[in-house]
Amino acid sequence: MNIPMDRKSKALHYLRQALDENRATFRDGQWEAVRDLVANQETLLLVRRTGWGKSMVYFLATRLLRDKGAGPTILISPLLSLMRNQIEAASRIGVEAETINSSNRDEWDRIEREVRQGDVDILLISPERLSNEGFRNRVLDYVADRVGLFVVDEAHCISDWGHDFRPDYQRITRILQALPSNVPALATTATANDRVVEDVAEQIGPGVTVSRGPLARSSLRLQNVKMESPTDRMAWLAEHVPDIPGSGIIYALTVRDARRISEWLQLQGIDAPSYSGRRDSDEREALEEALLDNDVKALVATVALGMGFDKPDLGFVIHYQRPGSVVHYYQQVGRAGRDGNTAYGVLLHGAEDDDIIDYFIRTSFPAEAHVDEVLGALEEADRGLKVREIEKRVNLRRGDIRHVLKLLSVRGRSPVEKENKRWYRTPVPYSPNREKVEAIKQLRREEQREMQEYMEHDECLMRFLQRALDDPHAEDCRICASCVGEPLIPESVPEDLAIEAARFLQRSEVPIEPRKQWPWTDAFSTYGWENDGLTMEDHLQAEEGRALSIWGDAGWGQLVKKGKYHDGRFDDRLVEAAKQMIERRWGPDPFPRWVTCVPSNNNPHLVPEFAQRLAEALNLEFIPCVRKVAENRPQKEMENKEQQTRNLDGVFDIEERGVRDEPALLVDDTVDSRWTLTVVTALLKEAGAGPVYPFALAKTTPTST
Amino acid sequence: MDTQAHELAPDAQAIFLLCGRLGDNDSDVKPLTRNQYNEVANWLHNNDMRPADLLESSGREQLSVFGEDGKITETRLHTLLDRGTALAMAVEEWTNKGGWILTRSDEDYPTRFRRRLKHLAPPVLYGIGDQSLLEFGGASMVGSRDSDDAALSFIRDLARRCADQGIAVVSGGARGVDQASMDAALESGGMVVGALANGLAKTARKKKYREAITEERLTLVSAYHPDSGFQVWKAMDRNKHIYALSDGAIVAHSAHGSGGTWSGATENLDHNWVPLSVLAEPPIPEGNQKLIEKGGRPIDRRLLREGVDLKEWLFTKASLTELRSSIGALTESGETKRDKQEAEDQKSPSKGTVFSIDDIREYLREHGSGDAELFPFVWPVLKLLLGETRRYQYVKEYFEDLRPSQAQDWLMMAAERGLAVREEGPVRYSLPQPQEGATNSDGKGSSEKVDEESPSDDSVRSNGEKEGSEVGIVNSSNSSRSLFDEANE
Repeated sequence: MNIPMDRKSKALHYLRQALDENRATFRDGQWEAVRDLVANQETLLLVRRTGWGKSMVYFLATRLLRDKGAGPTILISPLLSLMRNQIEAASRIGVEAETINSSNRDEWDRIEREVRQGDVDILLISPERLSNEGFRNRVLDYVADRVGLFVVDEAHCISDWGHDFRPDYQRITRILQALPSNVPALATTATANDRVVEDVAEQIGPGVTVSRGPLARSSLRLQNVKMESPTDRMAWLAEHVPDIPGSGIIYALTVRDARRISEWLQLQGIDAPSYSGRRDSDEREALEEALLDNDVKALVATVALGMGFDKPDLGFVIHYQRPGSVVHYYQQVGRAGRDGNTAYGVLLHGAEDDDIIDYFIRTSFPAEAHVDEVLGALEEADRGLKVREIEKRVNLRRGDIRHVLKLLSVRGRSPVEKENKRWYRTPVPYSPNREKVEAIKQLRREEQREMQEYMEHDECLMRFLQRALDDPHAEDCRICASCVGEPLIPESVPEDLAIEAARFLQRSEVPIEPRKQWPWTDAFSTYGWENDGLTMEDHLQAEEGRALSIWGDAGWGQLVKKGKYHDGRFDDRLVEAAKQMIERRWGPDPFPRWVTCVPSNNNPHLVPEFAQRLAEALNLEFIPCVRKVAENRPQKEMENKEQQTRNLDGVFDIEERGVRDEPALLVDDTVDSRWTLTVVTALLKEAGAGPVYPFALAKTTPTST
Repeated sequence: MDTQAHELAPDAQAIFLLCGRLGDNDSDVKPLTRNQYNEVANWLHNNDMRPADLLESSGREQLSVFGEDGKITETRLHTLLDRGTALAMAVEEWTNKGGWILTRSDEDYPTRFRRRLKHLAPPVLYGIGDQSLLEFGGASMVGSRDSDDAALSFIRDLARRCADQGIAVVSGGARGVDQASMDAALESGGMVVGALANGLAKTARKKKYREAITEERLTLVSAYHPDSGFQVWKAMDRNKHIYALSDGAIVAHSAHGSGGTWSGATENLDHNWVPLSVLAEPPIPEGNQKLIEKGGRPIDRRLLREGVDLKEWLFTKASLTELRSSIGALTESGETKRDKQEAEDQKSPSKGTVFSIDDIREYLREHGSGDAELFPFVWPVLKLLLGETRRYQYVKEYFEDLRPSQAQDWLMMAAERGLAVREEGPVRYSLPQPQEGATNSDGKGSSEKVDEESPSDDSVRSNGEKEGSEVGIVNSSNSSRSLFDEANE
């Protein structure tokens, strides 16, 4: 096609304006990408390193298309918003971007108005929003009727073979496939190995043009540090992070670890707040800003910090645990040193890494039995079911139910559909894709093995990573610990700091928040509590309690697990630790005057025996006045609220003459949903007990059981 | 599978962009109506273009001829064609629920729509279930919402018999006769096609329908968005889809002069789409009666008797040649009974005598037979009367106390069994000539020649003009032919 010269010069003019640089020129392939979109309405897959200027392609294309009278660009991205510098660049050429997502619902009206007035040139929405019914009706329909350019960011998420597969991208893929040829489309990604690029291109369809450039070269210096014990790693961080120049990211595999490391580092005077998907979007944005501006030394983050985050002068990336694959690792560590200045990438790894990765692999797909149960429930419900109603019918965690529904609903032809918060069975037969699931799990295990090899690798580390990512130009970096032949950062840990870290971990008790709501009006009908309004009457509520540890965790968690499943008796050290925690750190006020405990039929002595010793240590009387009057299934097998509450109804009884009208400590071994403690507390209080303080040796979490 | 349901062919994309209800329902720019689309299709055809050409800039430039006057303006067409993302999302949404979309350009677009409805065929069709069921034909069953129990019970029995005989039931999914027929057929393991006027998505997920769809025994189609609500015009417009997808229609109950059933049935008679049978069990509703007078063929419970080949009865018209086999079938399976009856005939009132129906009834009571068996006894009398061409009023008057419909009923029965020949305008009956085959083929003996492939251009054209007041470009018979064969030509 013959492109008039003036379009290219116009584009160049816009480029310079956007970058605010009079001599800026196009990067290799940048103009061609813009041209293919604007003049030829092509579908383009752009594989370029972060910082290359992928966003500039859609800014310029949007500008040129808008000049021709086209409608706004829609940008599907898992990011919360464009980076500040991107927004500024876009706005210099009159391209106004707006984000619409679940966290800014109060702005939808304004944005919708501006969209209708033609004032919005790029609308950024998340993949999840795209399939949200209410959002589609309110905002998206208007835009969808006139989209001038369809952009999908982080397109590697399309590939279910990829390291970063997101279910909602399956829907996006189909929308891309269904687009008529008169809508130009652009898919972009920074990280992708051959397999993923091929898969993404194939899924987008035969008409796609792939534009691919070399991987990033960075001045990153890599080092691996093997430390089995978490205390050593915590101590290492506290000792060495302050000495590394600049600011950086410390990655942990779980939210809990990220929080705990952050807490520890802050105690050691290092400004390193934690960052995870659990924080709301405003908090996350503020934390990202703080890191960009070097206002903090580091963010202790889960993988939630990543995509779209671009800080060229990031000084270091340290992994507290080993990621699941080389692709993950390279993507994360590669954020450091993009500006060409020296930066460090350190992989610490410990004994628990494989357990955590195994858990992720195991739970990446729902069990077939779970799918069958959920579908079975929906098949019988002509009027559909809310998730909560499904919980009543199947004994699955709410999270698992949602996971099943999500994965089913993004299939090309889905056996379920959602309308007004209710889920329905569709006339689409369901057949599990066993081979594919197994193949993907197998791939994940291979990736895990490759990462294990990397840990043990004694030649150039950078070369290893590049080779694994299909880079044909891989060569020795000469700057990593292997190439240099000695640690870049000392692997030593001062003993006193290690002891302090150990103490810190042993002090990681967690609060048990009292429940204040009944789950539904007909819960615990045997006990006849008034729960019409769902709010629990004050005189039945517990006080805030404490769990001494996290089940199976460093600190006391391991010892609790050993006591329950191996020794059949909790170690005396746990009595001592509990006493110290209760007396010195927790200090409930008014302090308990007597101790009781939750009985169990499975193991009738374990908890009472511990409670008795704890009572003795605290110098209090132990009164086992709670009885179990009905058999039930182990509460830990109850996977959701409905099952948990139903399983407890009418199960406990109180020997009233034992109950004292004084503050009580209620002891159990583990706490999860808190319903057992809630029910026993309410019964105790009905029987005349004073304030009740729940105590458990360990809090269990989905990953720990 | 190479292409999946959500990947429409380019022609289909263009048609869907022009006619589909996609995202923004408040938009000033409405999708093209069927008639408006017909105009665009004509224009495309006359310019040697296909719908897909409108997705290319060279094709888009041609749209300037539409100008900005009238309803189909250049701006409107451009705006509709710019809805590509909305199209992709809408198609994805519906196919995700298990559905599919066909447009008039698709090869799989129902042949019966293409051939029968021609320019009245909906440009866009949403559906769910096995598409090949749409090529299966079947018996369509319709009736007003306030059909009485007798009509409902008849239709259920008929639907069950259809199921037994491997005949699909086609209906509209509305309350009453529609649902009764569909449900009865499905419960009997039969095949059903539902042509819905609204609520396709919701209907498809009801347990009874959902399971039948999964078993590929039920296919639902609708020319309207799967989430659309009930509107009278859609229900009216939809009637033609029910008739056109079937090979013969049964009206269980109709009001006279108004209502969906009446308008659908008369439309079918006007267009001569499929043979129309009308339930004529007394008391016959006025609407049914009038439909019979307009050319509908009365039927009653005798149709449900053992051995009746419903295909022969419902899908053909009362022409002798076509009924040969059905007579054969009747004779064959009912032989012993018939022999008996003929023996009884010897004792029946003597031929040529004027007698009252009450006499016959009394006679039958003595011999232990019900009303349904009346015809064999009356036929000898009728045969005498039909020595000359007669209108049914004559027959009615001949018997002293006969209901008009009863006379008509018998005459129809006679015609259906090949014992008499029915002529139209005005309707009259006579005994068949010895060489009836020749009479039929030259069109003199019966005006009811079955020719679904090519209804007269006149009827098509006049209806098109009546339906679409906004049609500006005249459908010359030449160009109107092209509209429906975008894929095939």
